[in-house]
Amino acid sequence: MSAATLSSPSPAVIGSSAPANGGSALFTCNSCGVGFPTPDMQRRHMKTDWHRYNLKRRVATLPPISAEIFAERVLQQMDASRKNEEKLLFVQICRVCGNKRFTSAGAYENHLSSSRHKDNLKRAEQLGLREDDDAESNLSGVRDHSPDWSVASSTFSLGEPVQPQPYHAFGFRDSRVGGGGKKSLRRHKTLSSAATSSVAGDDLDSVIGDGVVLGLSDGSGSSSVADDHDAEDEDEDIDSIIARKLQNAVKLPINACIFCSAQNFGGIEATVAHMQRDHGLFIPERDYLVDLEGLLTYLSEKVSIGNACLYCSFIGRSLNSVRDHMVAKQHCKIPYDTEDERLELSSFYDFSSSYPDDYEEEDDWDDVASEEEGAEEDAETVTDVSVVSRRRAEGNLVLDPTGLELSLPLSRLRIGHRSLARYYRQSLRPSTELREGQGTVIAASSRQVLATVSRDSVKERFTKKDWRDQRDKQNRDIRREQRYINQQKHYRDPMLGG
Amino acid sequence: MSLQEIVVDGEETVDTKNALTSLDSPISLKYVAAGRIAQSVLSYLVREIAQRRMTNVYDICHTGDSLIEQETSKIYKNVDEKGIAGPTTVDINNCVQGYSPVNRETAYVLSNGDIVKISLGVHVDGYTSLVSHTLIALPTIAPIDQVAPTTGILADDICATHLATEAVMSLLGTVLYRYENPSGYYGNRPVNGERIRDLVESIAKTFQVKVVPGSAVRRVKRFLVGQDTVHEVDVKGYAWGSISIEAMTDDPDEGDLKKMIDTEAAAEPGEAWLVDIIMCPFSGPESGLNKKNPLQVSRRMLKPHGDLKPTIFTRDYNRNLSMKLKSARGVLIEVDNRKSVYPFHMNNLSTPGAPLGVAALANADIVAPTKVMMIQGSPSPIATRVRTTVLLMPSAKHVGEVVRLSGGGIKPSWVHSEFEVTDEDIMELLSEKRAGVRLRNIQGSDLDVVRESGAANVQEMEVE
Repeated sequence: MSAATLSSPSPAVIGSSAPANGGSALFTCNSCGVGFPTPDMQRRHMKTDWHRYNLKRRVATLPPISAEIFAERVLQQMDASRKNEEKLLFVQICRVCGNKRFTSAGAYENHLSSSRHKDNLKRAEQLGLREDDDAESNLSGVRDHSPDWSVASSTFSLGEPVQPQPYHAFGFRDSRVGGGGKKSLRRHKTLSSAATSSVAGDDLDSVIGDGVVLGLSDGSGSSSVADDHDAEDEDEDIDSIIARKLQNAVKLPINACIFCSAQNFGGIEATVAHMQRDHGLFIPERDYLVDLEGLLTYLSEKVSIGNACLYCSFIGRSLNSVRDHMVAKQHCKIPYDTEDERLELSSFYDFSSSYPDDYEEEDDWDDVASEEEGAEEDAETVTDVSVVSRRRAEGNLVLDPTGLELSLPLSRLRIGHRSLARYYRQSLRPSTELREGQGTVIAASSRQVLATVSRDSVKERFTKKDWRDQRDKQNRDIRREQRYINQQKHYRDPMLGG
Repeated sequence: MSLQEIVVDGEETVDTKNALTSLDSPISLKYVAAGRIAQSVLSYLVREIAQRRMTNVYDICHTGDSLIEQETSKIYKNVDEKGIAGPTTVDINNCVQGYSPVNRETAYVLSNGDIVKISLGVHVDGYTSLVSHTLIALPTIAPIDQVAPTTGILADDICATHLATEAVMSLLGTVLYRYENPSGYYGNRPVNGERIRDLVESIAKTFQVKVVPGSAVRRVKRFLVGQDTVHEVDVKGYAWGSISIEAMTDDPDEGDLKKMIDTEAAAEPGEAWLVDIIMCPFSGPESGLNKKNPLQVSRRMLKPHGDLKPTIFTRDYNRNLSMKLKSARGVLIEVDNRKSVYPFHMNNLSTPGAPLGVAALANADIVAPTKVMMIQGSPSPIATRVRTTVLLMPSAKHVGEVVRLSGGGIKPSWVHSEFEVTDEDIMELLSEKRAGVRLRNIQGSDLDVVRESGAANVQEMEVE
């Protein structure tokens, strides 16, 4: 050690909460801002969780924290994780509604108050079942708590069938969605396990979704994760970015607009109405959306925490940047085109009512009238159409391949598109049906022979014309010659006399 | 193998309208109904002519057409398409086809010794019976057998035509027992166009007559009996050229029906065949014969009549044009709706101005005229024609039979030819035993009552 080194500002004074002995210490830790009198102590310090945590914070350009605060946060986090674990273990099965599983208390309560559940309940009561029976049989107990669920996420089997659960690149999921985070972890093992294990340490700062909580759900897991960190230094870049984002995240309330700073709307509907009106947000398949709140929460977290654009793969530096991007690029919309995009949002939807056996009679199909021109002859068509119920019609309706003509099964009518109205108004002669003999003859006839005959007759006609032309020409020549037969200069017709 | 099965199935489905299984099948009954009407009308007309009650050709043709219409309207009320399959024509002496005058005043009146060829056709639901018969208008009303037989080339011609028709019918009938007696001369060879041609031409050679273009022995199907406007392909049988299709080449014998007729295909049980034999005792120069076939008259020898305009037309359904002339449009609609695919007579049209309209349609080739064709050549050319339709009716129990729909049982004029068939095979066909072929003639019903009272008198089908 040279004197020059000693004269430089000591790392022990970097942290404001440096230990008392830091000043005289020769062996310092730059990450934690502490000094040690002996190299042995320093080495032991390097192995503590506290140091590792501060190391990560340093990478994320965060100031180090003292050992006391670290201990407090560990205790807090363990407390929170236990709560979350309880929440995670919540399982309710509604027998009335076809053994539907609910993994969060909120979703279950929502379900109990839903009209669908009430309908089913009413129907079940008619069948002699009671809700009490269902309640008793509800499986409110402990979910299978296998070690697989712990931090040792590497044991998650890859061979499990892929469930239609959405996955977000950052693994952020609202816990109310019900185990979504866990399942997404299962599906994308490599990425999420890395994220989970690495985020675990930083997660002590803030309460995050259950994807992170899982990482700490096992008490012993945290240390084992920590041990792994020596080998995963290369992951620290990603980890740090994630950590930074998590820290900078602004949690948007449910009644705040995702795309602008407007807040405090009257309710979810008002928020949605605002986003629809001012930003053009269209929520697909609104009829089948069952968890609007969950959807909005998911979207807002994607924007606020992940700083990710909803529509493209753009990831902004901050919430404001991604908002600016979405507004400028008109990306204030939910992608719903591909299968993956639909699966991502499928947990908020319930399409079971669209299945055929669950089909319910709907209103008469009367809006076709607007398709037709108001022509007089169409009036009859329209009245006939409105009688046809949609359900009946869907079975036998036939749409023309061009998409411009619709055939109705009952009345044998055909509805044309208005763009072709001028053609439908024409009164063409109906195509005559061939009689049996005509059809037989036409089918048996070989056109080839006919063609030669007809071509020859044409040739014959032309030949006749040539003859006629030649004869006319001859006659003309004769007439012309006759005109000049008389060559006498002063000719007097002898008949006229002297 | 599976492909073959499919093809066979397809043929079967196509041919269900043409397959004859038994005499009781609906198709056979329609054929027989058409044949009986044709036979009735023909025998009635022959009797009237022989007894000199009818001498004006217009009367004969008009009566024949009226009787066909009247008789067909009585049967198969639910069948839409039925009636005249060929208007009645009376072709005198050297006329081969197509003479059916439009009015009585200018029509030909039969005179003594005329060779009269009556042709007519009836169809019921497309099942057609065409028939032609040749007789000599005799000077007396006396019974035929009291008069001396006609001799000479006319007798040779009539004999040849008549015997050729009989022989061909017997030859066709041999297909019915082909599998039961494979060792016999007629039992182990397929009956195809080439054999039919050999048979007919050898008979013609025996009687020193020539075959006239237009003769044909061919398979017929529902609605398809060789109309001029229908150009079928792969028709079984043999055709000695065509009268109607005018070749534009220098040699009119080139490029005729050859390619449409499949002369190799063998006749099968369950088919209907048309036997149409026209022969003439040609005595002109050798240039009047077909270059390739000296037993056949060249088509150069057939010329349309100078004055007589065609009165019979056939709609060509392959040609559709919109006509300017109102009467032409009217005729076209009437033909399409009421006439079928068969030839029709101008007089049978009810549209006002029909002759004008038909002429316009013929100009536009929408209808094809059946020209009045005369055979040229020797100083007093004559031609005889015998035409009939036969069903090769298979039988489940025993050997099938040949059902002659019309023309059977009407005795030909009494003629005596000095020539004689010597070929043993042909003799066997022409003998009483007919080489083992059973022949059933459909008998006509008596139409005299119909003419007088208009009441129907449908008799049971008689079997000879």
